[in-house]
Amino acid sequence: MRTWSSGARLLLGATGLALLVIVTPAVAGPLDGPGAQKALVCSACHGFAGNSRGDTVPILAGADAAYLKKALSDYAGGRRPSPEMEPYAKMALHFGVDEIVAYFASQPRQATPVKTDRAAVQRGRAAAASCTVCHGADGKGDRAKLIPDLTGQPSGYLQNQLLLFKQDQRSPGDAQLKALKLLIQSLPDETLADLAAYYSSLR
Amino acid sequence: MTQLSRRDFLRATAAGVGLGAAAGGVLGGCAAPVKGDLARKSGRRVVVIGGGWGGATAAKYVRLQDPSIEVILLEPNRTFVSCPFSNLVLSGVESIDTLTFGYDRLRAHGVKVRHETATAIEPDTKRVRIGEGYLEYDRLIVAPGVDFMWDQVEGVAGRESTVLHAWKAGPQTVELASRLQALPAGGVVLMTVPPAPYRCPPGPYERACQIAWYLKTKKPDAKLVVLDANNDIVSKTALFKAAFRNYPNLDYRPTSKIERVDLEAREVVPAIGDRVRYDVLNLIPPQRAGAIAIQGGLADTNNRWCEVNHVTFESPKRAGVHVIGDATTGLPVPKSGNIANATGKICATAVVHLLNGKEPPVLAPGNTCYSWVSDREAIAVVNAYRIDNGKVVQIEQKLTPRAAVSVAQNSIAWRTSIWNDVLG
Amino acid sequence: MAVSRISRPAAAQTRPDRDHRIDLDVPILSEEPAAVPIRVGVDHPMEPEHYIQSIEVSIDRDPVPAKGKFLFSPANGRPWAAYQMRSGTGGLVKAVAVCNRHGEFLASHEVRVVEGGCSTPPERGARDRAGSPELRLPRAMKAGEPFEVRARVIHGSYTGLVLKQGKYVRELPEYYVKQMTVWLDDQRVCEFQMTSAVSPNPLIRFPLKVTRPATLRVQFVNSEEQRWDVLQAIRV
Repeated sequence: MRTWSSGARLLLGATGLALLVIVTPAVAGPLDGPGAQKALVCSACHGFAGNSRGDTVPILAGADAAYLKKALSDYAGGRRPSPEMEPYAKMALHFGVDEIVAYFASQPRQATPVKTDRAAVQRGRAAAASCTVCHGADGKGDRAKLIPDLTGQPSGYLQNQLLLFKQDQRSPGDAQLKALKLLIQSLPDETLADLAAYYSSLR
Repeated sequence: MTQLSRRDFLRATAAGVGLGAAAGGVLGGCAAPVKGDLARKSGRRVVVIGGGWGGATAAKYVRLQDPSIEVILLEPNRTFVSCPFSNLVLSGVESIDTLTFGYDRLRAHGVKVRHETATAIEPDTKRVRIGEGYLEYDRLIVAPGVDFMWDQVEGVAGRESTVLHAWKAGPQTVELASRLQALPAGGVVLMTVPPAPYRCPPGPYERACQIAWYLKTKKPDAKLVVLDANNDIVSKTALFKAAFRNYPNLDYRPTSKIERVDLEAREVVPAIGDRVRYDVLNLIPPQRAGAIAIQGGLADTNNRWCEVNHVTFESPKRAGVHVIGDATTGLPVPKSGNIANATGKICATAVVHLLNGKEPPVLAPGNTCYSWVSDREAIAVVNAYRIDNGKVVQIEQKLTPRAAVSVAQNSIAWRTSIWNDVLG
Repeated sequence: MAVSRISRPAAAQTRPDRDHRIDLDVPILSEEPAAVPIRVGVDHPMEPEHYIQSIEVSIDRDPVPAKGKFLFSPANGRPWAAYQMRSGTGGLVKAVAVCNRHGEFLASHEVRVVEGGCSTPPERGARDRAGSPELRLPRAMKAGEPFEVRARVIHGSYTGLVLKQGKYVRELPEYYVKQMTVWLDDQRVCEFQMTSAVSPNPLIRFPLKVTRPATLRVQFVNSEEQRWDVLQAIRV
C-alpha cells in the first residue's frame, strides 16, 4: 500500500487540489484503509472520496461518522424511504458500516460546485434566523446531537430533504425531529428553496 | 468498448478480429506500423484493453492505488461518448457534445492512453498484440464491451454499415437523430430489440420512450413499432408499461424476433406476426463479448460471454487475464455502465493487491440505473450485492415507485459523479 | 447449441427395430432463465401402426418441474416441437418419448441457468391484454411433405410462486396457457399440454403434413378456461 504522502503528491498533480497539503493527521488518503475499499461503489453517485458534485446527491466527505451511520440505518430500515439508497444502505451494513462511515468522515470536504442564486441566498439568510438555534450560526450543526453540518451541501439535496421533512416522509414519527418538522411545515416551499440555497452557500 | 473504430459508420468496417498493423497505423495516426516490443517494460505493468466505462475506471484506479505500476490503456477511439443519456440525443433533449469527453484527465492520473487496437491476446507470453507489435503485461484487464452478431440477422450480411444500431454512442447516434428529424409525414420508425442478454437491459425501452415522445411532439402522425425478440419488457417492466401508455403512437410487439430483413423493400419480417414496413430502421443486433475477448479464448461454452472469478474478475480460462463490464457472464448483475464502473474499481483493487502479493479484499458491485421515459421524467432500478461463498449474490433490488422529475434530477447528479469517476 | 443424445429404452416392450434416438436441443448455459429455448424430436416414422405418441419434458429440480407434454398423431408427419421454457434452477432436462409399439425412451441433458440482470419479478396479479392468436405457415407447402407451423398467443405466464428465504412459496394462483390443440378440418392432429413453466406468449413450432387442402385450426386454452382460436386455409 502506498504511503499517505505519495498519495498527496499524486492528487495534487491530478486535480490541483491544495487541501491535502494543509490537512491534519486525522485525515486519511482517499484510498487508504478497508473503509475506502468497501466504499468504492459509492463514488458512482457520491463522487470520489465522497465529494459529490451533483445537485441532488449529498457530500459525504467530512460528515460526522455517527450521523452517517444513523442515515444508513434509516435508509436500510425504510425510515428514510429511498429506492436509490435502501439497497446500498443494506450493502453498507453488510460489509461493515463503521469502517465505511469512518472513511467518509476522514475525507476532506470540497464544497459543492453547484452555484446558488444570490437573491435566494439573501432571502434564505433572513429566513434562517430560527434555524440557528440547532444548526448553529455557522450552519455547522452539533455532532453530539446528530445535527449535521449543512454548509457546502448542494442546494438541490437540501431542498429535497426539507420537503421530505415537511411532508413527514423522512423518519415519520421520530420524536427528535418533531420540532424541526413543525418549524418547516410553517414555511412555504419557496422559502425552503431559499434556505437550501443559503446553507449551500455557507463554507 | 469495441476494438474497431466506429468513428465513421458510413465507411464499411469489417466486424471481425485482426485488422492487423494497418489498422493501428490508420487509427493511431502513426507514420508506419511498428513491429516488436512497442514499449519496453521496466517495472510492473497492467495493460487495459478498452477505454469505456469499465476499462477507463480500472486503469485510473490501478494508478490511484499504486502509482508504481505502469498502466497502458488501449482505446481506438480518441473520444469517450457516453452511451447512458445518448437516447436523449435522439429526442433532442440532450446534445451529443455534453456526452463527449477526451482522455486527458485520465492521462493526468498517469494512465498511458494509446489510441490503438489490440488485435490479439497471447496469455502464454503475457503479451497483447497490436498488429505486428506487442506490449508485455504482468496483469491484463480486458474491458472490450460488446460486439454484434450480424450473422444472426438474416438479410444484413455484408451491409452492416448501412444499418443503424446506435448501440455504441457516437456518429450513429447523431445520424439516427437526423433520420428521425427527416421522417416523412405519417412515417414509420421501426426499432428491433435482440434477445437478452444484451448491453443495457432497459436501454431499448428508454429509447422507445424517447423516440415516441419526440414523434408525439414533432411528428404527430408518425408511429414507432418495436419488435422485441423477448417475451416481455426486460427491465423495469411495470414502469415502462405505464410509460408506454402515454404514447399511443408506440406499437410494442413482444415475442417478435427478427426472421429476416429486406433492406431493398424496407421491411422486417418477424418470426411470427405481420411484416413491418419502415421509413427509419433502428436494428439493435444480438450481442456477445467484444471480439478480442473471444479471440483470447476467454469466452464461455456458448462462445459468447466470459465467465470470471466473482471477486477478482480473473478469467478461469487464462491466468493473469481479468475481464470486466458487459463482456462478463455468470454474475447476477445487468450489463450496465454502473456495473462496469463498479467492477472496474473492484478489479483494479484486486489486481493491485495481487501484484503486491496480497490477498484481494472481498467486495461486491452495486447497480444504479436510470431511464428517462419522457423529456423530463425518469425511473430507476437499484441492485445491491454481497459475496456468498465466492459468488456475487443479490441483497436486494428496488425500483422507484413511479416516473418523476426528481428521479431525472438524481440521474443528472449520478452522471456528474460517475463520469468523473470513470474519466477524471 | 444442438446436442443429440442417444436415448435408452425406459421399459422395452418389443425389441425396437430402430434407434428411437431423441434429439434434445437445449443450451448448455442459458443466460435468460425465463426463456430457455428447447427443441425436442425423434428421428422416427409417423405411420398409423408405428408412430411417436408423445414427448414430455421436465426438469426435476425446478419448482414447476413439468415443462410440457406434446401429443402427436401420424398427421404431424414428424415428431418434434420447439418452444421456450422457464427454469429457475436449471439442472437435468429430461425428455421422455413414447412410441406406440416400443414404449418409453429417455434422453437427458444438463442445462445451467444464470440470472444476469435487473429483470423485475412479475407484477402481482398483473393481467395484460391476452389473445391475438397468430399462425405462420410456409409460403409454399407440398402435399405429403411435412412443413413447419408456428403458432403464438399473447398471454402471460405466472407460476404464482415467489422465492422467500431460499424456498419457493405460493403467493398467487397460476395463470398461464395450459393447452394448444391443433385440427385439420375435423381431425384432431396434435395437442400440447403446457404448464406455467412454459414462457409467456408461447410461440410453438411443430410439424404438420397434409395430403389435400384443409383448414388448419389452432386453439389455445388458458388456466381459466378462456379460449382463443385461429384458422388458416392450407392449399396444396
